[in-house]
Order: sequence, then C-alpha cells, then structure tokens
Amino acid sequence: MNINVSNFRQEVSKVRLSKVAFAELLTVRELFEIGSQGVRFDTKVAYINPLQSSVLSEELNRI
Amino acid sequence: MIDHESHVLILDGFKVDKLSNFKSLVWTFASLLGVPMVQNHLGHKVIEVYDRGGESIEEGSRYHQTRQGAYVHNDGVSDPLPIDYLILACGQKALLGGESILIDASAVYAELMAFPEVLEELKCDFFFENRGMSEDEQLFKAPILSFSSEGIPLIRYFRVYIESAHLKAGVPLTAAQTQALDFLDTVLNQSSVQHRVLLEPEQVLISADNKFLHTRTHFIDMNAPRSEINEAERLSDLNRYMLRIWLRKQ
Repeated sequence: MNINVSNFRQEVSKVRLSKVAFAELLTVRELFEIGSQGVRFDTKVAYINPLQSSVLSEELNRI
Repeated sequence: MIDHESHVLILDGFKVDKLSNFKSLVWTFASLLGVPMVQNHLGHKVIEVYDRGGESIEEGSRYHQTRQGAYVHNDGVSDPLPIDYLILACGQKALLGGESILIDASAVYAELMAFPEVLEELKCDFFFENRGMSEDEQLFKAPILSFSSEGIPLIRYFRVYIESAHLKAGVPLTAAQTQALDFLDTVLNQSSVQHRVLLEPEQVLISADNKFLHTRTHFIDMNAPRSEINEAERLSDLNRYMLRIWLRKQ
C-alpha cells in the first residue's frame, strides 16, 4: 500500500463564515428554535434550504 | 477541506451572549454539517465539557467532566464505528491552561516508520470498551492503526480505555503491545508532531477525528466548579466551557 503522509500540516487553518453566511445561519437557527420549543434541543436537527441559504450552503460544502 | 487537506480547522466568529443561544447556534451549525451522533447512555448528542468538581478520570469520570489534562486520544474510541468529525465549540476559556494539543495521525505514522515492528503491532486488534455509551458494558476489538482507502493513516487511541478494556476482557496486554503503546505515546508527546492552540470564546474547532488526535492541558478556572449550569447565564460568567458534538458524514 502506498502511504500518503503528504497531508500533514503544522499550522491549523483558521477560517470565518462570511457575514452573509453567518446571517443565514442565524435565520436557520431561529427557525430551528421555533420548531424545537419544549424539547431538549439536541433531539431535533436543523435543516437548510439551499435556495434560501445559498451562501451558507456553499460555505458549509467548502468545510 | 477537512477530509482531504488540513484534517482540522478553527472556525471563528460564533459570537453570542447567553449560553442557551450558544447551544442552539452551535447545534444548528453542526447539524447542517453532518449527522450528530449519540455520545452517552442517555442519548445526548451534545456534551457540555466543563469541570463538575467530581471524581478524576482514573476514578471513573469521563474526560469532559474534569479539569484534568488527559492522554492524547481520539473521541470516537467507544464505538466500533469511527466518527467522522469532532466539533469542539468554545463558550469560555479557563483562567489558566486548557490548551488544545492537536496531532496529525500522518505525522505520527511518519515518525513511527523507523520502527516497523511497532507499526505492525499497532495494526493488530486491541480491546476497546464502550465507556459511558451504554449501561450494558461491551468490549470490542479494533486496530489502533489503519488506513483510509486513499492511504491516509487513521488512528483509534485512548490508552486508559484500552488498558481498562484488556483488564475487563481478562486478556492482559502483551509485552509487545505495551511496548508499541509506549512508542506511540512517546511520539505523541514529541513537540515535533504537536500543534497547540488555545481556543478562544467564539471559536469552533472541527477535526477529522480518526485523522487527528487531540488532548488538552490541565486548567484552572476562575470560579468554583458546579455540577449544573443555568441556560440563561452569560458565557462571560462561566468557567471554561465547551460544547462537543460528534458527526458522521451526511
């Protein structure tokens, strides 16, 4: 087997969501909070509509 | 990026004031990124990492309940199936200490290539335990070292849990296995493979769990430890506080 050790990086990449993506994340969170009232928050998951949150969707895919 | 390039990154800018808002924001982000996995016998998919002031790891506490520095490890060692991503979101840092130490499995493998007999031993099965994951204790076997289909080294390791599992199985570690773990620990403790970061509030660490090992240094908090925290509290009033989420790919 050819072992690939070329991916080792000493530096940890630091990135930040763009302002638009973060605003879209906050909107998704608001919808999630409305839909999860009265239950422990980690029993439901959030969903993204790629049409309504296109920038966030694209930036998540890059991660 | 995480799968094929850096294996770890820090996402900045998760600015909120209250704990409840922090939880829902991090959870929303994580559940868009992958499928959150259960992390304990209660079915919780988010774990709050802070010092409860109770027992030590050696006395049976899980790592996230203490302020101890720990051995270098992966998180996904208690489940036969590895997790894909570890999310660690910082709500508050400690008064002193609590650095994250990050280690690429590829760097560890490169160091151990000089000791082929150690690598061969690490590729063999060891016993692991499902500590904290179920009320029914289960042991399972898995290798410490394996490889992805692209040839990237993958590591499954938490020495305390392995030693505990071998004791419970009634199968003591052999001299060769102990030596292999000693070699692995020695490499993991070398500064040449370590990268240290102090996560700041608003930062979220994302790592490919079986490609990147981690640990943290011992820490001291501003205030006395508490077993429970009120959701309405401001993040700035808390002791060191992290949220941990395990994800599998969508």
